Amino acid sequence: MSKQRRKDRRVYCVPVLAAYSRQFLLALLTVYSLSATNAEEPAFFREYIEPLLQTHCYECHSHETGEANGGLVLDSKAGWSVGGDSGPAIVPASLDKSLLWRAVNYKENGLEMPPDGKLSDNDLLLIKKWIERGAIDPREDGQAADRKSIDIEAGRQWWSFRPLESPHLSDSNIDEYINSRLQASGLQPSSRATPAVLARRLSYDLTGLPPDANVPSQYDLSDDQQYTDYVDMLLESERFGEKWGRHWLDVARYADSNGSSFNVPFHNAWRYRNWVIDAINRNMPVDEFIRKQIAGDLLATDSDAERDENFIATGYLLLGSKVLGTFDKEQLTLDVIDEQLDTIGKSLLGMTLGCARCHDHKFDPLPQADYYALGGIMASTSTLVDRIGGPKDDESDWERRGLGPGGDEKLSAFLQEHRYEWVKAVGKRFQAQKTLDELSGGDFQSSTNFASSADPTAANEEHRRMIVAATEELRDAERKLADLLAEMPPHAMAVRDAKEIKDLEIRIRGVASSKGETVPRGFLRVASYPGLPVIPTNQSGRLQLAQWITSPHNPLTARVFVNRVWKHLFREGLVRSVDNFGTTGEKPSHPELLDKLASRFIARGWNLKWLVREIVMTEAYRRAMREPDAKDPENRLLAHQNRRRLEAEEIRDTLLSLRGDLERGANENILQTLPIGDASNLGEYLNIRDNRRTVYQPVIRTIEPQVLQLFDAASNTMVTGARPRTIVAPQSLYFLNSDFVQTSSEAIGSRILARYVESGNESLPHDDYIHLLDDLTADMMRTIVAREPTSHEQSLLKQYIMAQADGDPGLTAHDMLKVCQAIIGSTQFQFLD
Amino acid sequence: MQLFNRREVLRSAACGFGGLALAGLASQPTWAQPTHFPAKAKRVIFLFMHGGVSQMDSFDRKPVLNEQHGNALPFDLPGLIRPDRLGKVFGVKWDWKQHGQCGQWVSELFPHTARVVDKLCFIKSLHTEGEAHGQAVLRLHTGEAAFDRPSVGAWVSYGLGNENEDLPAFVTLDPPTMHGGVRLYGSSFLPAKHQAMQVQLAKSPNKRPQIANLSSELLSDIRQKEQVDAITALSRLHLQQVGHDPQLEGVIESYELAYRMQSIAPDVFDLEQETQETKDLYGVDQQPTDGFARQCLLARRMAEAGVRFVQVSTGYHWDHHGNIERDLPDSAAQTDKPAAALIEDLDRRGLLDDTLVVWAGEFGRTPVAQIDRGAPGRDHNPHGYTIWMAGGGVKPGYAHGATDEFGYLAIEDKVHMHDLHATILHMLGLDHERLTYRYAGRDFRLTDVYGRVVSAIIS
Repeated sequence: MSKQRRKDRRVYCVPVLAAYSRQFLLALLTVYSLSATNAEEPAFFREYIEPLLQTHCYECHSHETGEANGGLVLDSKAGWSVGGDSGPAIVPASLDKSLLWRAVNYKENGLEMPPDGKLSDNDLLLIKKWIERGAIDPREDGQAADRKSIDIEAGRQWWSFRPLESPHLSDSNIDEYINSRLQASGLQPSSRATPAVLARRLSYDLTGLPPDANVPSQYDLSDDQQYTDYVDMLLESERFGEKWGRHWLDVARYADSNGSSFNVPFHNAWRYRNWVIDAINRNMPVDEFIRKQIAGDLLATDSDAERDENFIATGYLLLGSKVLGTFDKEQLTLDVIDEQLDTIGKSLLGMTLGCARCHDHKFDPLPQADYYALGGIMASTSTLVDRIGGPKDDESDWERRGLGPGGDEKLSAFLQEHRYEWVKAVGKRFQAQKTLDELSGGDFQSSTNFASSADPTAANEEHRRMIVAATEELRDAERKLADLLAEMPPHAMAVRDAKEIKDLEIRIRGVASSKGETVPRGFLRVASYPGLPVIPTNQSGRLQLAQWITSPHNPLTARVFVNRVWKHLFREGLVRSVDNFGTTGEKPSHPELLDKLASRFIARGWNLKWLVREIVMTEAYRRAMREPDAKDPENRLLAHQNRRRLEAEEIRDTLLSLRGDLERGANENILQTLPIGDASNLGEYLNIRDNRRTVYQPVIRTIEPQVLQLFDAASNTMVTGARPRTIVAPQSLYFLNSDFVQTSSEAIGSRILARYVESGNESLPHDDYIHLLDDLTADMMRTIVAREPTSHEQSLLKQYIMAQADGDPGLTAHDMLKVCQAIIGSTQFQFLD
Repeated sequence: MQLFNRREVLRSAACGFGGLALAGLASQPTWAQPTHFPAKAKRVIFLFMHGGVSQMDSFDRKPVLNEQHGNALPFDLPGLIRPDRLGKVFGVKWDWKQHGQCGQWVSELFPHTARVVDKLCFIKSLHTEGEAHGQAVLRLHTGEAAFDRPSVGAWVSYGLGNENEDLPAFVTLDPPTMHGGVRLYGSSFLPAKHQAMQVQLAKSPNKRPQIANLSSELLSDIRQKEQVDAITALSRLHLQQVGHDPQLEGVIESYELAYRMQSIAPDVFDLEQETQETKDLYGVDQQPTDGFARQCLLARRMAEAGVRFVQVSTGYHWDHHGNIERDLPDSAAQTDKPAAALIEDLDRRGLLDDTLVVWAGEFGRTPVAQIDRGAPGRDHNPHGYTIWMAGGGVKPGYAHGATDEFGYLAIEDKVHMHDLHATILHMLGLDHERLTYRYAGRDFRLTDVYGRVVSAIIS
């Protein structure tokens, strides 16, 4: 809106400019002859300076145009003497101290004024003279820009800031809320989905994997009790934590390396990941789950194990991608705080706090001071320490905390003494390994050119000798590293309170060096409530931050969390902008339902499994797909269930599982041997071959496996409550040509075929498979999409099989590959009905 | 109307796997979007000199360096990466001559570029933030280092759409894996179709361009067509059960596009279709130019085919901290001839008028020697350096801005990285303040809240 106005104004300005140009010409002719006394008179201002300001500045800095960019107006004396966000624009008689002078000379980075092009030398000369002679300005009665201050009380009226009410016994259940809205809109809900569709939907939604082959025989999902039993079985499966842990890792922007400009591996991030999955499987109350991540290190504990877990949980604050090599460490600190606040804001509160770094939030009741109040808490928390590889390194290291009895103290002592030695030893060991690998691998000939050697025995002898030497070197490096590690306790990426507890100064325009007033540490005023936790002067305030976020009186946290769960089960949240509950986000489709669900969730002890169960038991969740009604084209009222595509992890996990290759259990420290340096060029060493679930595969930022990159996995640097949903040609190329889909199709096809051929045979002769076509096609569909084929599908697949298996050997594994691949590539597999 | 008909076609029953699956495989109408104002250029070829080219050894002649060789700089160094490793003023060993009508000074290391200077527009006062490669490379490619933001090419794709429906709007040739990796050509919060298609050429074993999953070793062309037919037919049966569904329709269409890409891309990628004369012009099959020559030639073929933004990365060989006298001539020799050939070739094909070529590193280098790596070299310098542009709306035979007499700091007509981005968008008919994308409740721009179009270099 304001942009538009600005453009209009520009057009409107042209005649004004023309009108003044004659005067300008006069000014140019006379400026050199002006005596000093002239510049000290108001007439000088009226004649030369005011027209100049009108022409070049008022467009964005005057009451007339309604624009006060940077909080500055120049249409009165008060305007520039009080100044804008950056303080006074002009200090009379002092060019050096006058920001305006620097701005018009383009000496202030990011503040080159006017932005369309520098003023002429003569204009500059006029301004210089005017300021030097005291900046006499007769416009005494004007006012400075009206600094809009945010009205917190008014802001509280926005739906998401209003307090939640306590639940009543008489509260309706979910279906009642949904059905009454459908009824009011004259929409007929769709019928229940078939048991096969429900089995697949529930299995993927709750565990991220296809239903077991025996589900149809074990559970009759049209029976309510058996449906409940099936849901409970899935909720108790460890796979539930793997699926729902991944949802949390999406918003925690989880990764196993730093990414950005220095992609150092996080050797210990896996502890956080596994903790998340485990906590969800244990059904840890969600408020506790959050408290541990914000302030685990400050919570009282009963055991070493619990303290360790609490340390590990604070990894949440450390996982962001940072420009570790930033030369200006104060800038780096502020950037890290910003990243932490952005993450906390979006993931837990549904607030875009980052917008308040440079100025008051333009849309939400979040003053810049609130940002720096939270910022002070993070500034009093130690996140980055020291340098990573040596005292002269540019890149900072991050906080680590030792685990096990006395581990934290031991680790501190160890790092004090051996930090760089250890980093070097890890690197040396890796180098030695690499050298040996290269010697033992196939490419030694090209690198050492022994192929051209006249005497092959001599070459082999030389090669053997080199391998022996390299092996020796590796052993040596391993021994040295082992000696060091014997003194180094296992540790986690984890924060601690900083040695210096401090409040932060507001940074004007977000510029590190432009300090404004100091703000006491605190929380968002718009989401405050009576009896807020008080931050002691000698503590960071993280513990109180955690208490504030997880208080039943915080209006945001439970709403945001419940809405996320809803989103994963209905494909869209009740609030579709799941990470943004501010005024630029969407309003809830069913506000009462969201509020009731959130308050019941709190009353149930922030119980995630209860909430998931509550939702999947509804009729609304169990409805069949349908074409949207014209009255509700986006299906906001949930007359039917929404279709979703399988997520990247689900595609990979499913194919591995159908091949019979998916391994159970968690990965631990499989990056441990990577050097502590930029991993971007480690090539093959990052190509991790591991058949456990995708959630356990290390996430090396910027080097994402293809399937994750292509199928919209979470960004891994930004909070991703709702993954993007793209449909692009490279995805189809992946299903057509990727090695993984082809080898998987082959393995799946062979497994199916094996059920029909006698052992020892590799193919089905023509006459045999013709009789078996119905069985084969049904088997393929059951295996891959967990349901029986329709007659159309069956005839299509039969036709396709026959087209492939023409000729002598009969139906082979290769033919089966192509048919399985066609099913896997189709929307039948890719989507969940 | 077009879309509606298309949907109808997709919805119509198609039993059997032949049917309509490949209907509409003929070339598609483009979805090119209107620009904010008339464009000077329709596309960009961005030649990235990874590592940072020394401006005082290439195009920014500073005789005082030789006069003052071995003396201390007469002013304090600005915030440098490591003041402790820097020595005294370091002279330039190369001969310089003025070239062309414009009289641009070029060092002897770039004889081919010298040949085309009358077509080039130099910016000698570019400056940026980031003393380390990572920050500076990210700023050059995305405008931002600390946060994940869309790359320049993704913004261009978002702003302009495709010229050719069968190819992506944004392609990157041999992108760096380090200093930002995928972020250098990623779409970040912009829709995924705006991210670059990666083409590997430098490391390709047969010197042919390679794209992930573009071809199948298992299936012949005919078999693959059957495969696509079977997949889309099965999908259409799915669609039939539910009626209209944009997601399912989207997947069916994406198979058709994938198939078209498979058909057209090998043709665009086939450098063997070029004449020997053209190959020689670029330096294909010659050393040390072969690698970059193939990249530049492929870039031209892509520009011709309608790719909006082609990013070409030289590989990380310009970072001359030590022994600059030995290594800089190598880097120059690898790239000089192909880059000049690209300009000449585009020009003679009439493509230079609406193709903007940008030649740039992430920063420049210091006028003082770096002395901790054996033979001396030059350290990073983001405070002032030289790049060139050509074609698509920039003044030919022109130089804009200047550094101080030592070539250290941009002082005259300074151009910030944001200004460069604003100007590139401007050439394409896009107003950098109006090209916005709403994400997480905020309108984002390539230039954040900064950026001024450098109108002085517009022809």
